[in-house]
Amino acid sequence: MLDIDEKALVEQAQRDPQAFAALYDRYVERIYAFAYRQMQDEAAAEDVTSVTFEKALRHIRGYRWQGVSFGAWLYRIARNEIAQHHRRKRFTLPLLQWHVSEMNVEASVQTSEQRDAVQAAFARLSEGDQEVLTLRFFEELSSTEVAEVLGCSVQNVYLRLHRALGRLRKHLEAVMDKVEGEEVYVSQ
Amino acid sequence: MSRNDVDDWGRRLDSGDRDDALLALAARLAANRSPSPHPSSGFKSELRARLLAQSATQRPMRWATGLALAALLAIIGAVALLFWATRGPSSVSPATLQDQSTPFPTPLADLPSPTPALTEGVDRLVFSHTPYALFGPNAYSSGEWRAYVNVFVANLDGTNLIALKDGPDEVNQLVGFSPDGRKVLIFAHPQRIPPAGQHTIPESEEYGDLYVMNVDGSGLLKLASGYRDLGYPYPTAYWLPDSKRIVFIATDDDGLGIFVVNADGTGRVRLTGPEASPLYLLPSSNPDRIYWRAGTVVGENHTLGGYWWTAMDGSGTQPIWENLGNVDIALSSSGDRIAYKRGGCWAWAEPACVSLFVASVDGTNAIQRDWEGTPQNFWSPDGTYLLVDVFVKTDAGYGQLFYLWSPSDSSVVQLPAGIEVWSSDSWPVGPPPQWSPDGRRILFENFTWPLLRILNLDTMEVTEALTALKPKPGITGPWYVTWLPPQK
Repeated sequence: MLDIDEKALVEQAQRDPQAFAALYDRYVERIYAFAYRQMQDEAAAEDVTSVTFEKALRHIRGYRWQGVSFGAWLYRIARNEIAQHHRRKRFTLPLLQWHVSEMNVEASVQTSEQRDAVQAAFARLSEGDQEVLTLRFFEELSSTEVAEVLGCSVQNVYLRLHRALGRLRKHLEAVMDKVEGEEVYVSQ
Repeated sequence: MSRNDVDDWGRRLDSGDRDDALLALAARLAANRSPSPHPSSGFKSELRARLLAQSATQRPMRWATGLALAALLAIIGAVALLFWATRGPSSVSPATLQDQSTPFPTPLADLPSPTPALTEGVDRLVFSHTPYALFGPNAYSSGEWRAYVNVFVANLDGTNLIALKDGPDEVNQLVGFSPDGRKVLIFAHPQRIPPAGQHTIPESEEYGDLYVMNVDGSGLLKLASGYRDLGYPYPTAYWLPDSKRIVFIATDDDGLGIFVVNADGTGRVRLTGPEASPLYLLPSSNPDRIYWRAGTVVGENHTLGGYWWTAMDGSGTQPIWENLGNVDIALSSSGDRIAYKRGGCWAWAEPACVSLFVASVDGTNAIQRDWEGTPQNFWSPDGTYLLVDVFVKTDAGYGQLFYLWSPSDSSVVQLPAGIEVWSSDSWPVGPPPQWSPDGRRILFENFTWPLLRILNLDTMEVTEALTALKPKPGITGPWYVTWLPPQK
């Protein structure tokens, strides 16, 4: 996530906060998408996005001291804001909305029932499992970047992913069993 | 799955390998992700304009400005070091004080006698309880320990009882005491008293105010709002060894952070930035480094992250113990050794086989010992012993056995009968055992009154504690009983 251009942008923004705009342009869509996926609420996602960039701007000069890449740093701030938002609101996370693109529909051999089953199984996971899977597979961060966001080792990320996918598989099997059971019941 | 297996699996995942059920599921998950939601253009442009306006108020750091600032900081640092060297380590520079001393009503009418004076040279315990259970006209509902809780200090036998912080609509919980035995930290958050038998939880149960006060009940001072207390086993505040400064986790406009403040409320300094996500602290007597673990709490879910240390001089934060993986680490009081466990087989197997490791604070020189059961470990005050609390399941039921392990000479002693706990149908999980400050006694606590027992390690005799307090039958507690060090 930290390429040469970005490194220059960060250093420029550290010298002159006005240059922060370029970093904002680069990341605002991703941070908003991350927040929206976690909260399923447009206003809440906008709040988190705003606070994330305001804090990043305020602390841009000191960000480097933890050795975390800039994008991962933004995700970490956003993640903390989301956690605080959950604490304040204590709302139950709704199901993630899965909009399968036309391209995916064409490429996929899955039936809509199977996609719904994956969606339902995912929603049964704990917030921690959802978070690590979201960062890795929906936000498309590398395992190293996920480790930076979560503040743990890469090996720990592997372990969490393995466990989360294992639990997802169990939930998926349970969901599919239920669906098949209902189909049998209906057909009888 | 061993560490090598995890590494191998992770590398296959990162390389796009899908020749495995879970790897295939990962691919399926990624393929079905929703397209990224986009913020509205109005929001994007409005936020961009706002950020630019804010950035305009931050003056660009020119090289000359930077050099001048660096020189100024160097001078300030030199002066501070000189001041530190001549005045001792308590001289955190004064900063804006957000929470001044707050007068607090202390309705102690429930106490049976006027507040007695503390006497020197007597061992005392500090604990939390609901005063209704101890003194109230009606027994409070059994098992309800969250409502209207007070903090008490008493002699070992329960005499000379003093109620410390008291609020009719509050939960007050003991956080910790100063090494010199003169002050305690108390966590307080408002809570309405529920009807008997009912349990209410305020919206943000873990957030409240952090107070400091003298152990004789005087000198109440609010140190911070937004303090986060997660209770056992996650300490979020402790005293530095000089008994003059407190490190704690709290939230402010920049989110959760680690702070240090003088015990008189002055000199509050934030040690971590907004990107840090501290979950709990690993207290030690090291005055230069604050060890902590990252993580988040959402509702009842805790996500545990990596370990870090932050320099007290504000020079930065570094990750630590990354090579140990996702293990629970217990730091010795002296801050120079760590203990952690790692499953030789799955920890939830019955019986489990688990390895305990003791290593230098940098993670090297690890010493291993294997245990049958599920051990928890607690360092003795001088870092000589680990009290190992082993959960076992036998034909007799579920049990909790205790051992003393000396890693330096590999000796292990099983502690005598009378302190272990057995249950026929479930794991007997009680509060953690507490070493006495002199390291010669250990207090064992269960949630059921009056199972407070003290093991004298010199004589191996077991005695009960707080026997003078006679709550009504069926009342739980006291809980989180802690030794109060002798006053220095």
